[in-house]
Amino acid sequence: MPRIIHLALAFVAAVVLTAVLSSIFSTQFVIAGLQDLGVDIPLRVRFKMTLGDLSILETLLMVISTCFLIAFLIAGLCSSKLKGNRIAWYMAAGASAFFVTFLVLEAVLQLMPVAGARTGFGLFTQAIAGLIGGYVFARLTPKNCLTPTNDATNNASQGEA
Amino acid sequence: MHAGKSLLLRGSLCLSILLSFSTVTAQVADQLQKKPYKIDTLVQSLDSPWSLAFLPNGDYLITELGGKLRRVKDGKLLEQAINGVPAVYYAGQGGLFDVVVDREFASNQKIYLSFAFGDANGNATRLISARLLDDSLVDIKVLFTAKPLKQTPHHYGGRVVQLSDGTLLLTVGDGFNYREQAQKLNSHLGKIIRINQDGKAPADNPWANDGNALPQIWSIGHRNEQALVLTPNGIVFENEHGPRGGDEINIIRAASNYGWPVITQGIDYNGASITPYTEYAGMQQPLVSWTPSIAPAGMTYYTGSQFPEWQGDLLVVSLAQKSVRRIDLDGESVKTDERLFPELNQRMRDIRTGPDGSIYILSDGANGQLLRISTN
Repeated sequence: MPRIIHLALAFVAAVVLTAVLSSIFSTQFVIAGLQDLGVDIPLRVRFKMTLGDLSILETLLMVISTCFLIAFLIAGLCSSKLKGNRIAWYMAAGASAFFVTFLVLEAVLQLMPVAGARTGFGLFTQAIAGLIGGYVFARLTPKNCLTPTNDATNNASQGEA
Repeated sequence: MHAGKSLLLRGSLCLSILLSFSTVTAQVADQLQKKPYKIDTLVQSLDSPWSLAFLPNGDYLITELGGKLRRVKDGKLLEQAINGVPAVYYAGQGGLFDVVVDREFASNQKIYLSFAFGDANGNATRLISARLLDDSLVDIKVLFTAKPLKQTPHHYGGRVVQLSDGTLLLTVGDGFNYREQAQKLNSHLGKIIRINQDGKAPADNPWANDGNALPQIWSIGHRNEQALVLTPNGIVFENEHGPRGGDEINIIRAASNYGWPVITQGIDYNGASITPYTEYAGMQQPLVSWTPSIAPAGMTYYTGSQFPEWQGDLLVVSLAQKSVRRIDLDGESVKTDERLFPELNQRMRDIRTGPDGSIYILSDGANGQLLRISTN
């Protein structure tokens, strides 16, 4: 499979999975906020609302694609130049991308556009979604996949997972 | 010869009838097209006007969001703004909001102003009273500051109405990021509060004797209130913005819960659910609900003489839909909801019934206008 197709598929998989996780996490925080008010949310209602909220994937996919594109390019560069654990670079990039994106959105809009990220813990879980996205992308792609100087000799000498 | 003359006469008669008929038809069409009202632009170049009040001497007071209180005298906007208005937090939706003239203004010269107080690190809806002497505010007293302070410059509420007993109702929005606090009695966010003219909570407020509740709270479960109206028979109507959908008009009663964010017809701006429920035990349903949102703003209960067919109806202006809506009321229920003045296709912030029975409208934005609608 051509490298660009491979990369694209891995990127799409990472973005979609992250968007799904982000939506699910956010919904659970919204539900927790309502339960804290004494509102009864049976499991069936929780499940229905969580599924229904996947309708925001379109918006999330756009935002996550943009921030992951930048973050993964930086992670690839860091992994190539600074060495270290390649997967850790991508996980850190995924988490940071989410964290930075939400903070920038909050600063620009002067409000938090994703309800589940209004608290520190909520924002942390969103970063976890980004971290998982970074992990998936790293696992699905070969080493040095984002650098033009990619060659088998270099990869073999780095010996990373 | 005789027959030809008769034919000519009959032809002339038909032509005359036809001409008369077409003339009458044109007159009727003219009458139908002629609007039963006229719209005059009284003032221009207002900077984001927010609220309008009428003084007993015929002057108008207009607030501008940026923090200026302006006077219109003899139909002219005075260059110099009223002195002594406290500094407001002008950011996002924050700024100078409502101006209300006291019922006893002729004897006490008192007015009330609501505004955003504070800064980006901590801000709140605040209400003050002051005496308006000439073109200055004196004897300024802080009557109320919502707590807790918030860090968003959104959803302040800030509409004020004085009840017949002299107490004041003030709307306080949920601050956007703090929506769950609209259901909590230890927070002013998402509430309508009632205070005396000295700022104290009246002893007959619904939670005045509850040690776990803030004593000023009058009703709970509000989001982003935009208007508060008192009718001559004591009914209080309020409207508020829902998120995406779920704009509402409510009849406000003490101790009632209007549901936000547990029930709403709207969804979050990103498409996610606010809640799975549109109704819940112990929570009030709105009198009117608009989905999709029209973004209602000011509202008036029309009691004027110029449009008698609208007496007892609510007139509401909107920002997003750029419309004036008439809510035809039958007591406390709605008969119809229709659009008026379609030529006013602009964002509008406030609407009032003037002492002369005309309808006064403030358009929204940097080049705001004061419009007067009266009968032809």
